[in-house]
Amino acid sequence: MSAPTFIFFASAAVATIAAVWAVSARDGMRSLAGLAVALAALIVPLVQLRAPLVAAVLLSSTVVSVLLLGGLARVRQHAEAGERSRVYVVLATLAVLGFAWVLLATGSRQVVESGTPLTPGNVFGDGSALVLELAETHLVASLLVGLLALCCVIAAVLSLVAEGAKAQE
Amino acid sequence: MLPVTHYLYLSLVLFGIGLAGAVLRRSLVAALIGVQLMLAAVALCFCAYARMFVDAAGQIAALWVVLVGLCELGVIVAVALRSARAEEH
Repeated sequence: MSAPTFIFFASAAVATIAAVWAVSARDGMRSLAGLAVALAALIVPLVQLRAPLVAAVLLSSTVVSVLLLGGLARVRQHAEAGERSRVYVVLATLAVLGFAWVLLATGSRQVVESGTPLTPGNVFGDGSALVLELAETHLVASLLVGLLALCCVIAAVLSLVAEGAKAQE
Repeated sequence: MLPVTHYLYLSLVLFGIGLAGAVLRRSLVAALIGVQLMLAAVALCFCAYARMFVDAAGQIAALWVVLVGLCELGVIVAVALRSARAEEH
């Protein structure tokens, strides 16, 4: 087994275990720790796929997400949703099992492809090349999404600060 | 490069775990964590296909997914806090 293969499988195992931990832990803070580890472990496959800019944005987004959800978990520490009906639980479980079945059925028919080998000097995945393409062909969309993201994060942080101050009073 | 199916399987597994968390857990925080995992899995899938076809558009789509997911999280956190405050009064 080559080093990149071993590194990929190690990071995939860490990401999977941490993701299971994140969605199954009863304590909100432990769930958040699992989420942070799972998303941090995803950086390895992203870098292997030559997407360092996406990895950096995902890491920054993870930090903000963990902070926001941490604030929410602290404010809503004892606020849990009510009991779910049996019909909902049965339907949701069937949906998840159906997804697993589709995953296995399609996965068993996948053709293993390695993709086109990159020639030396190819700028694919370079942060500067990606930003250049963004600026050339997706300028309006980039500005719009960036502005929306900024507004949403500012609004959420202000809400958290305000609610935290009220909770302490 | 590893076969692209490795990355697709990883993204599908993460998406499934996130889906299970989003629909089966009662806690709002756990459900939001599930949604975040699903979005990260979709971004990984886009990047895998971008590398396969050597097309940067897939990476740009992955960037959109991550950023829009962050917006969605911010809005949900604000709404949840407001609704919690309204329930108290």
